[in-house]
Amino acid sequence: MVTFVILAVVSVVGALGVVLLRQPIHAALSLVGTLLTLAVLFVTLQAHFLAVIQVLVYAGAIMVLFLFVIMLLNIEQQRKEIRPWLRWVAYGIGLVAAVGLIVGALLDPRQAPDAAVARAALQGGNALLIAEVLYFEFMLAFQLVGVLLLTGMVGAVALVQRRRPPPGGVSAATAREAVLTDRPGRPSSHPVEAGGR
Amino acid sequence: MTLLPEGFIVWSVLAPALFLLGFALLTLLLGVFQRDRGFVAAVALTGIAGAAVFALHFLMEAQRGSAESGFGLRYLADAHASAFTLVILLGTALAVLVGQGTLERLDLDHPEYFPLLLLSATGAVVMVSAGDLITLLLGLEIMSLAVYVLAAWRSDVRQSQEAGLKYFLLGSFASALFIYGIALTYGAGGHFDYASLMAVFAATGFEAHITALLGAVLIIAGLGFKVAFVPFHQWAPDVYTGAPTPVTTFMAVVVKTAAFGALLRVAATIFAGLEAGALGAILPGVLVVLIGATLVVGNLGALLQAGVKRMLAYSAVAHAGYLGLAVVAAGADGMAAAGFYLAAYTLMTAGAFAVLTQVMDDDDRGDTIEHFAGLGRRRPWLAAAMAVCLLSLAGIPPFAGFIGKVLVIQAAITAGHVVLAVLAVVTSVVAVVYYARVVVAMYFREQSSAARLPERPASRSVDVAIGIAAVGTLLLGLLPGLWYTLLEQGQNLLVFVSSP
Amino acid sequence: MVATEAYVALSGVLFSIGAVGVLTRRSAIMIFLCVELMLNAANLALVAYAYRWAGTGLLTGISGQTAVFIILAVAAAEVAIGLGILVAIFRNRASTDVDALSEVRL
Repeated sequence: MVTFVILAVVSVVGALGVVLLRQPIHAALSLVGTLLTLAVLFVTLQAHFLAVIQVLVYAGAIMVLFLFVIMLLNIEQQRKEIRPWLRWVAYGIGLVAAVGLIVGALLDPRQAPDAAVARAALQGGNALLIAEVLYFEFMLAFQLVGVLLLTGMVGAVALVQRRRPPPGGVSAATAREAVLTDRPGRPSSHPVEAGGR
Repeated sequence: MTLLPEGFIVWSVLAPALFLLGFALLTLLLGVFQRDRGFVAAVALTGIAGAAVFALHFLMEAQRGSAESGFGLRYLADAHASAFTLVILLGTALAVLVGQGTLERLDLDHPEYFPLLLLSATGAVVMVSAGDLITLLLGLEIMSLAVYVLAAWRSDVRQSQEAGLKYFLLGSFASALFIYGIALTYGAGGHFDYASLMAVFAATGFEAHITALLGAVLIIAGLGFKVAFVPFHQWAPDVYTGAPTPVTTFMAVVVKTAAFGALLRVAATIFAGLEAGALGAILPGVLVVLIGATLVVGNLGALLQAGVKRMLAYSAVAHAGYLGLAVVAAGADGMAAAGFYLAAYTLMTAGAFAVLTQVMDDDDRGDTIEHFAGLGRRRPWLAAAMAVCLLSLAGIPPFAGFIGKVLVIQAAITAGHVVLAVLAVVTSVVAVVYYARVVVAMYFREQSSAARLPERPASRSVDVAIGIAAVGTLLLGLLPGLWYTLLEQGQNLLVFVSSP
Repeated sequence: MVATEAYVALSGVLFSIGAVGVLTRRSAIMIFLCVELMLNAANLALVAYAYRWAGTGLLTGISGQTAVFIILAVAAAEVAIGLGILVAIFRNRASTDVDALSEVRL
């Protein structure tokens, strides 16, 4: 009980930090805090494997990517704020949503889970159990994850590796002519150079 | 160790999706060394045609009452799935043709274009065939990720990049809502597949309705973003306008078809199960409010636009409202009506956007009504095709759009939503005004000197797309039975039947 | 042991905080961070419900945990595309333009 309360408070404070802190770096680090707390909560819910994955993949890989991009792009704190009345409308929506979800959760009339039964069934949520479901019920979903990651890769490459026409630009007509004369359609410059400012 | 039950894995039901995926990979490879984009486009079209052959096969199987499914009803190839797959493939083929004819001119020709289009279509096919929420989520993400990238395709134009960013941010917000909806639904029902959830929710003595209801509302919200239900429609005008027109063509037809296909399936299974129990009346109520608002806001918004591209974006919102009538009437009637409506919508919307690419200049600009003035004299065929598409969108009788509207309104009345049906009729009268404005400009106004039609040779592949769209719109309008009987008589799996 | 309801309620709070962030924040990267928070709230709810199903002995509950696994992959793919779009946008601008572009009108 005490553990849960402490973890809940920490995770909510972290979440509030994400929403309220002005510096993107601070907000991102605050989110890392929440993610780590969630990993501990997963452990209390007999999901040890997911807790490890949460730390490795989420806090480790994804958030590092975020921090990397924030620093790379040198994003400073926000200058403009949204209109105050809109802010209060948003707070109102959030409050209604939170109350609705809490009430929905607490009104659950079903019998409470038995910790011993849960422990026996989940076995700490180990990798073997998850793998059995992953390659059975989730067989198709597992294959589709592969397609999803492929799409992500192709998309990211397409976005970032785009060549820009040189200053002044190459008209479509010259590009077409270049293709006809068997030269590269667009002057192919080095990616770094092309991406320069 | 659990062993897979016999007949669990049925790869053959995946045939349309696998065919598309295979050809996406092929076009990706070809992009490395093949500079001739026409050839790559032809390969992409071959893949789409192959997938269509398989989808047609499954549709015919469904006619015989032997609809197929695999992975323990987690992937379906019944009449609904196959018909929606065919509509998606039609939309993708039209988008490939339009892209082939315009990409080079717009300076958007990059080798990843066609692969991403096909990958996105693969995701769309998975969405309409999905039989569980996780598969649906993955299809949704595959489709969406590719479209986010395509919307930001013009690296040199700020509107396009902002369109991509905006679409991505709102889309991932919608995904988050959808995923939370999945979590709550799992909490209430204990399963992810529609068949088990339907059984659990409809069982007597089921008591976790509030959680299930919240989950259902969040799922509606998540998919509502994709189909642009009001109030989740705000992205649509900006993103449709900012994205390159060939991409908008794809977005307007394929994304909408896929999201509606999934929404109808969820409505016919999970929601129908929920509605059978206590608190069941709340869910249709939520849908009715959303759809009513969509009808009003979409049509009024379209009325106020000066640019034709933006007008078509609002018209896409309005059509989401008409299609919504089929969702509240879910069940076999609604599914068949929506299947017909979406086929008509795909033809006429893709046709209108294809004509738009021919009127707009090489910077993808110039879409005011002025630009359409006098088109009837200068390019009679182009203007005629545009007129067919627009009049069909407006719901004028001999064309497909009219039959579609009649079908969805009928379905809504049968389901007892008379108010919504009346609202749909009233708003479609308003709709005639803004579509007719363009038609009037094309035929009854002189070309203005300020807005000249760009001088360039017509693109054959875009002409083919426009021809297919216009002829198809006319054909579906004159012989609706050709397509509708396939939808109506085909077998659908997992349709909720309330116990007497 | 705390009841599962408390975990689900906590996840609802985190989810709502994330949603408020999406609505109030104006820079793209901050909105995206808030979306990640919402996804994590959903994961917490899934894990809590997995525990509930396992604890009541009706179902193994492990499929809920496996779904979290899949959703992690979805989040990773989304991050790749989202950050890709951001980088592509910023790369095409002069550095002074960055502030103006980090604002997205929603």
